[in-house]
Amino acid sequence: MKNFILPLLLVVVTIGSTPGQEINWARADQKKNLLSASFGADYSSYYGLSYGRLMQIGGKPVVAGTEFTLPFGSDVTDDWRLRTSVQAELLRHGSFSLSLKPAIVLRRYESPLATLFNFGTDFSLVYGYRKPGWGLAALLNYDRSMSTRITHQLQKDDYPGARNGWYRTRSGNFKFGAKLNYNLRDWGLFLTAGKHYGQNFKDNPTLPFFAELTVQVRF
Amino acid sequence: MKYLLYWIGFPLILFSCGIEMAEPGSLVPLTVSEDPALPSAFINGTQLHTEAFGDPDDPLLVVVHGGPGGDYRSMLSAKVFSDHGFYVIFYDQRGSGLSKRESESQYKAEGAVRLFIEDLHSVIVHYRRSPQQKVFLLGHSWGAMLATGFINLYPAQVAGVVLAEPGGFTWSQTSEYLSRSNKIRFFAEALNNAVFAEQIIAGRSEHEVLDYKATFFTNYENAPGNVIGNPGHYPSWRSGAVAFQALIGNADKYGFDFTGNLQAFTRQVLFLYSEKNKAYGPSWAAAVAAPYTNVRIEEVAGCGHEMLYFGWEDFFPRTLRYLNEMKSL
Repeated sequence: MKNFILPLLLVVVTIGSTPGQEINWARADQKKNLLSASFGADYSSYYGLSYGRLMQIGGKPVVAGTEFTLPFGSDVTDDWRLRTSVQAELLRHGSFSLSLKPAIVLRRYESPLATLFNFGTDFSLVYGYRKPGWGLAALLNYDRSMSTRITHQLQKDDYPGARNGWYRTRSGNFKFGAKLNYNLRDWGLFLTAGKHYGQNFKDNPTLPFFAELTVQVRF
Repeated sequence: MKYLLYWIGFPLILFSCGIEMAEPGSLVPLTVSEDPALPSAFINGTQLHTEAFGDPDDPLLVVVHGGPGGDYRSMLSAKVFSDHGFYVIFYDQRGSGLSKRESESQYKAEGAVRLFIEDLHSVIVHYRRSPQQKVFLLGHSWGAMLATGFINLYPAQVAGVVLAEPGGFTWSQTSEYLSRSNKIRFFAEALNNAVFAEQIIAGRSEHEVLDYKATFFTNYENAPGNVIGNPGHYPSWRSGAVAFQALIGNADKYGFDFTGNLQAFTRQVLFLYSEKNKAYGPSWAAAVAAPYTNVRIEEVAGCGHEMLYFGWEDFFPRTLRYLNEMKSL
């Protein structure tokens, strides 16, 4: 449970001032609170919850939000990802819309070999056709790892010279995909799918595809 | 508060400093090209980590490790054959274990599998003192496949061979075995332990980083309930990630077939499979061993795929009995 303390604390700190994850900008009757549940496959299988809040900044709508995801598996608390983002629509012409979503990412990974605690950043560009009831968009995402605390366990047994500490892990993965959404008055369904690559297009993730289904309630 | 400062403030400062992942020796051990204290030899155009035990005039027993990309650390119990009249040779294959890292292009070329067979040939030439000195091979997994590839090319040079669970002797046979042994359990903790870190250590090209990242896959291989029957972690030096990935890609592209000339090898082969590897078993052992004309198939009790480490108590007497029989012929 102690592995959860930090992410829970950060969720509490960020809620009230932050995100909404998925949004269809074409809807005029936007509710202010966006609560979503999702599951999917991204590196491994996972499930998660997110909360977002729609705000007006300089007369423009901005969604700030936090999402917390956990991979499936027998040890619930050992791996997690917390992503806090701000999302804004940059351009709109007719029914076409371009939005940007920068985020800060915290991740924890634990296995018998080592524990990793990671800080990173994440940028998404979404461009697509938006109608009030539905939308289809292309997604470009760059998830950049920045700095990681590595604490070796079994790796230290095999190689006592392995050094614990903060490592520069600066590099990342690209995602190319599509987002489809369907909306009714107070809820929406979002389906995202695509392929991801290492930024050098060589060191690619083992599971090359990602997909997510999100159900959202707005209030 | 101190806790928060440490976990948030400190790493923010460290964005511009911290240990560089690719710094030699920080995450994975130095290789023979970086640490002159390690035992090595320059063989077939590369520098291999290699050790020999026993009387150099005794029959050679060359131990060939698994992988590709593995190392011989978990097979070191085989040193004891030097007490039974064998000159025991260990080597980490090209680009693997503590051997020198090599360019990916070496493993991608069409003749890459042949290069690994020629490395084994060169290791034998390096240690063999006379043409009369008998040569025995002891191969595990990929090492048993490589040993068979060698016999297929040089049947007259080998006096006997112990093959411990080779995946297959052709690429199609091997991929069939791998589809069973590496079956993905999509909702298992073992999968997270293998791949979740790919979003943290991502898109890097340095071999040191790729080697470290590849060690996480041992979490999957040795997780509780694993298909291949390993009870847990076993020791290794370094995962040769580039050698592994490129050679698998190479085999997928070009294929291989080590069986075309095996009928020329008429000496008896000791073919071992483990009791607990659910992806192997006696029927697969018989199918893989079929191209050999004279095979003794035996089960090693109480262990899974890593039988030289976890099943040594049963593996050793079976292997010694066979080697002594073949030595006396």
